[in-house]
Amino acid sequence: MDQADALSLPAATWETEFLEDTSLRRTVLDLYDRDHLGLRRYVAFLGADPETAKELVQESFLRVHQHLASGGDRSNLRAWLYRVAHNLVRNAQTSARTNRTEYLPDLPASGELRDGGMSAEEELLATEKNRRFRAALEELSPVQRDCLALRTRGLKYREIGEVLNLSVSTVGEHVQRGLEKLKELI
Amino acid sequence: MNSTLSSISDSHLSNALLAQFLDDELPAAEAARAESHLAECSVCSGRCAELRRVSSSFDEFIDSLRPAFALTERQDLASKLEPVNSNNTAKIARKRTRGLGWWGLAAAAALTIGVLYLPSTGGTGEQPHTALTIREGTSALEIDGETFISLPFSNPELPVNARRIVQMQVPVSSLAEAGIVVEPIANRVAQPDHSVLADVLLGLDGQPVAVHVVTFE
Repeated sequence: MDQADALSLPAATWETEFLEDTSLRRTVLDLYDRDHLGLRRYVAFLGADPETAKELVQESFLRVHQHLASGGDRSNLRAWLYRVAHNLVRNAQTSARTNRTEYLPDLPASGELRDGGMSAEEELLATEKNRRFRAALEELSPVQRDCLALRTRGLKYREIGEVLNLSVSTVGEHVQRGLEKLKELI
Repeated sequence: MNSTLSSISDSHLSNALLAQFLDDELPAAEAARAESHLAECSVCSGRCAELRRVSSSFDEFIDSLRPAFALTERQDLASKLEPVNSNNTAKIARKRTRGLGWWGLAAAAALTIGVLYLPSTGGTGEQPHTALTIREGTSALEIDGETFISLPFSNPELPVNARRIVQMQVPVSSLAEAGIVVEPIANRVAQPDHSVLADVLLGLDGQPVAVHVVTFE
């Protein structure tokens, strides 16, 4: 085989495909770096157990990649990511027949995952504050909790609506009612 | 929402409006009116501060969750991002072309200028890297006493012409894609575009089949 044959695939094709491929990859990894921790917290908030949470977070980013690879809209990946994760968690919970009221995870029992530099007393206070906040959250409706949680992740009402299949004004109502209820309780 | 635009300035802000103001969800004109009302009305600014407090305690609560994860999860994800289109045989050929990336370009460049070398035995003066790790699952072949690492995206069916070996600078990132991790020496910052000298073995189709890093000798 001579050199001309070896070059029958034009270099331009390689270059274009290579660039596309790395840019999709890059986009997903950038999204991961920016949002994985926030997403993990949201997934934990929804009550996924730690092992399932890891899998679902991984799966969510893979789906974003598939979405992009199949030419999907890349304008609002963050909302897309949260939507996928939200649905994955809820589906997993439905199929495991998890009681939805058990949505709040226990705080980590061992010290390994805690912030350094916290005294035992501070930790106790934080735990107590957390416990009270959790009790207050139980008084909210599930959709109010979801709206507020997504809101703390920095999603706009429109994006929250996309995640939860709600209109912007409905999201606004849930946010407002949820905040008011919490205000009375804490 | 029960307050109309005209009433914002002279009556108190509704709860819905306050929440939207807090979340930056109001159109600019309405936000400006709400802001000027808040500047004058201590009742509403107090309610606004209260909502802000509730809102930030929610933030604190979510941020207090410490989901466990392994640092290797990013790497796992990165490795899974490649074969997204290759789950059936019809797409394997395409994936191979994609996977070639830098290697394809390099082979093309090398063939065009006709720089073909036999395996090199000498090293180069500077040695900017110290450690070479071969990821599990990569296979090796031996040519003229040198160990070449097979590239995962080469076509194993094609015979190899051992005389067609090109020596070139290969980016460390391209080596990583092939499962060869080159680590910089301890006190040097890793440059993403860093290259090392390597022998690249070309298959009969002119595509890179295996690589042998020579900088370490």
